Amino acid sequence: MWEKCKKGIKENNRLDENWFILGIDLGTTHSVVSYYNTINNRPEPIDISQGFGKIPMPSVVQYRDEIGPEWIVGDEAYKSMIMYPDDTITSIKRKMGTNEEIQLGDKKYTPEEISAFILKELLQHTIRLNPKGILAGVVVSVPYDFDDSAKKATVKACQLAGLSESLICLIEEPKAAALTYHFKNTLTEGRKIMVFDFGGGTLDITVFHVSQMTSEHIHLQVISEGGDAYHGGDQIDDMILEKLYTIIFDETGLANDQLSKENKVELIQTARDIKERLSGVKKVRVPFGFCAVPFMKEITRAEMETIIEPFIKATRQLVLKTLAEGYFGAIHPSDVDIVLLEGGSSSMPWVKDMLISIFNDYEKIYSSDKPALNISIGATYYAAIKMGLLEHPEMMAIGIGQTVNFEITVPHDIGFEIDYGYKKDFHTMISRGTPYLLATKTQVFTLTGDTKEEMTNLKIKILERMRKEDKIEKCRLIGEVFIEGLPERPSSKTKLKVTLSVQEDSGIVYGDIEDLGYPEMFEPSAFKASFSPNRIERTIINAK
Amino acid sequence: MMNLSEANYIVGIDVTENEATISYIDQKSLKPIIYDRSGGYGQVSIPTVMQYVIEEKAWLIGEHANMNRNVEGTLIVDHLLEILLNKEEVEIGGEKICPERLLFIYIENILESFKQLNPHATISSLSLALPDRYYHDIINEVENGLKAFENIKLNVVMSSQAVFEWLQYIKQPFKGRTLIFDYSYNNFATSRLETKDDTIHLDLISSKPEIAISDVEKVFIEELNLQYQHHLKLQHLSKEELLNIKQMLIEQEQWIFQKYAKKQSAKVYYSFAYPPFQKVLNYKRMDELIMPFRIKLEKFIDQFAQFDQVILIGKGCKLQWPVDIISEKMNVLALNPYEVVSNGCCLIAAHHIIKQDEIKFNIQQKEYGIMVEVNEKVIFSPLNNHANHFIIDFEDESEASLDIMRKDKENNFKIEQTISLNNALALHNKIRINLKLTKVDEDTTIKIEYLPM
Repeated sequence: MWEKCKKGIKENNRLDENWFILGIDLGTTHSVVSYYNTINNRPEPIDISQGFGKIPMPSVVQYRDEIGPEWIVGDEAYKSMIMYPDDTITSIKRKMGTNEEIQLGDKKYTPEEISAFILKELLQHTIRLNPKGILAGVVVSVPYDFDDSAKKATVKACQLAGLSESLICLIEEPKAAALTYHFKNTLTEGRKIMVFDFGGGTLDITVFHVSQMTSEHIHLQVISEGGDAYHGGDQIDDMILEKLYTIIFDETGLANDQLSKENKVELIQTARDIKERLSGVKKVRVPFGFCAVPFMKEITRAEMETIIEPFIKATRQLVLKTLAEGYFGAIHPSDVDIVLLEGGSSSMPWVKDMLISIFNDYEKIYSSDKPALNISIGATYYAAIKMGLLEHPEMMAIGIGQTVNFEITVPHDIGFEIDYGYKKDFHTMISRGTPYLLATKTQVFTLTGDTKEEMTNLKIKILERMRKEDKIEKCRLIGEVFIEGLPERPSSKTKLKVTLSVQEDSGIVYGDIEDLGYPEMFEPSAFKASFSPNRIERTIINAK
Repeated sequence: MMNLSEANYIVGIDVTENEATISYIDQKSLKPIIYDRSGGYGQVSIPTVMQYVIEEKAWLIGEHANMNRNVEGTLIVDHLLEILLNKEEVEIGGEKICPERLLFIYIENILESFKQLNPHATISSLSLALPDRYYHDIINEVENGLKAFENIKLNVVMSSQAVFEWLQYIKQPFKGRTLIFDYSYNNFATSRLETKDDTIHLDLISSKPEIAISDVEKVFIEELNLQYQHHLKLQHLSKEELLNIKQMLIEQEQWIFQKYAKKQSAKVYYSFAYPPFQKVLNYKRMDELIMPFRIKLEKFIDQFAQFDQVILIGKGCKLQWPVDIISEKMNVLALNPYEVVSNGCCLIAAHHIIKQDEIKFNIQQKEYGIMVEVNEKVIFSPLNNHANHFIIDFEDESEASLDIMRKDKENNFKIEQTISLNNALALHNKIRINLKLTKVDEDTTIKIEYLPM
């Protein structure tokens, strides 16, 4: 579909007014959808509140069965979660790629099924803009730290929401933020910018470099990525929540398992409220109204920062790691020109303080003007680039005179598990930092063994190493592929070519396998197959 | 367009009764951008609330001040425009702070926040837009307050001027006679614009506070109070419960009115209650509550049928139903009501770099007032568009009359209207009254409110 629309744009020199290209930030706590506005040639976030100016939609899904089954998504679900604590799902993004099932009513749902409700709601708001609209392409953002399984789950969620696979493309969130930064600010060649995207569930850090810039062309290159898919504002809420439980216990003797579900939901919302308020003020008074003897307690910003000190330290380590593990070598803090704060959680004062302590210069730290929207906007820019919209001077966003080449890279090492018998090891096939255009690597295996089974079967375990220092046990399984029924040949006389590639559109790993026979002894058989490894179910390929 | 340096910002601020909206132009943007201080979460306007934190000797403004109400050791200053209007001073730690200084602190806080976007940020030009009906009453105070900003080019304009600036920018100048309906929290005010001989004549012609958002909210709050009381079988509600319900409406009014716009019932969640519960506010009941306001609004706008087009501004436009009513009866220009004034104001601030045709504005000012005796001298005391409190001495007479005077630009006086007064509430032959001025096109209506002495 992308190619078809791209061709249409090239031929007609414009994007058809009924075609929508979208960028979706499917966030842990909030989701945003933007579209490419062909009148003013730039992405625009869609107001989901129909005039009330609210754009980010809470990523909250609620099931009710009072007068027939009903799904509530967004603001209303969030505001009423205290009424339906068992039937309200929040932060579903954290579970993407897992086997976990969520019980709602009398049915169980996978995380991608729940995410699909959020996507459907966002898409409905898009249709309202133009009921005749046709989706030409959708880019959905994923955290840097999403593994292959989580990315597949995201694609699946999009499909369940009614999008065909050919429409879907994924982009890592910090790259989307980098693109938005480029289009909103003046860049100069050689500049290095760190995007620190700190959201409700995830922390994504990208360092990109303006490697080339002329009046017609700009080349942006990602030179490091880092972060953690389970390191966000939600964790801070949890830590504050623990403190609130302690306060209640100290004051009333009530342990948290003695509190009702509604009380717990209220405390969760209170914890978030405290975090948000202490971003602007130095102390808050917290009411504990549901206790038998209601009381108030003052919490200061300093106390909150003490409670979350381990989290702050861990965040600092993630930044330092990203700098240390640049694709082309370590990056010194003084080499970074600008640090851009994105994401709703980046407004907490300690974030800036922590970054100033690393970069030693408060004047390098910039806050994004709309951190809640920039990922979605960047995803839409990426969709526009893919569509070729930003190659036509007439269609380029106002003020942007250059074509943009944005080099997208593989965020983690992809490889095989090699079993030596006495130990297992990770063999890298595609390294972190490899541009997607080059993210294809072939390995030739030679089958050896004593038994017929060993000579006609091959088991491949494809893994993703999230951190350079991770040992084999910590690497995440992308999938197992079992090839059976290979031609029976003597030991060491069968060569198999296995190719792994990472698809640019989705970041998902695919593979091919081919029998090469053995030079001058055995002709290759006709066996050739493609596979898409799956963590949940082993892929079995019969070579016969 | 001339270039701005990277860290330079041009700012326009639309200050209304309850909130301020900010737009800015920077090096990259070629047109005003709304400054969303909530970071994209949609709270594009900030409350005109200030809070002094005693221990820290620091001021908070806007949403942070609002959230922090009722916290010990703080002082809240609400409704900045009213404070300027009433020339109220606020006492902080034994020191009296004049309204001009309060305004300066509020605006300074806003401008400082641009350093979040760019640590090197400087503001080269600033424009403030004031609601038309406030402009003449507080322009001096506002200009005095802003004088303290050094090295910043300053402008203070009426919101209608800002609207026109924006129309010109988007190449949609109005033709013929145009109305601006400013549907704010406390009022529904009307300004008239007309082009004659390359000059825009601007005239504040009427205001209708009874259909303001605050009145609609009051009615809904009462309804929710009754619902809550009935559900819990309470005789009366505590102060805390009343506050909670008010806060709940503010949080949920968005989808309540969205549902109303779709002719659907809305579920209201009393999350603060123990245990929490929900009630349905059905469409029919919502319609009953809103109907009196709809009727008043329809009647009010019927008199303006002869105007060529209407521009809507103000927070009230979020309610949708007023927009629908007005759109049915009049030609409404499609503008974003929450952004048009701040954007236009920003363009005024950017005149030195974004060249637009110079607009001549003639602000019609018919000044109404009464003749009062001060220190044995009779002087003209103008009436403003808000409360006007006077003490009238009947001097042993049982009846009295009061001449409402009109003063024109040449300082000529003319009796506009004579009002009869009665002494039913007189104490020692004196009564206290509030004269509420309502202008409807060429006619002036004065409503008298008798107050206890």
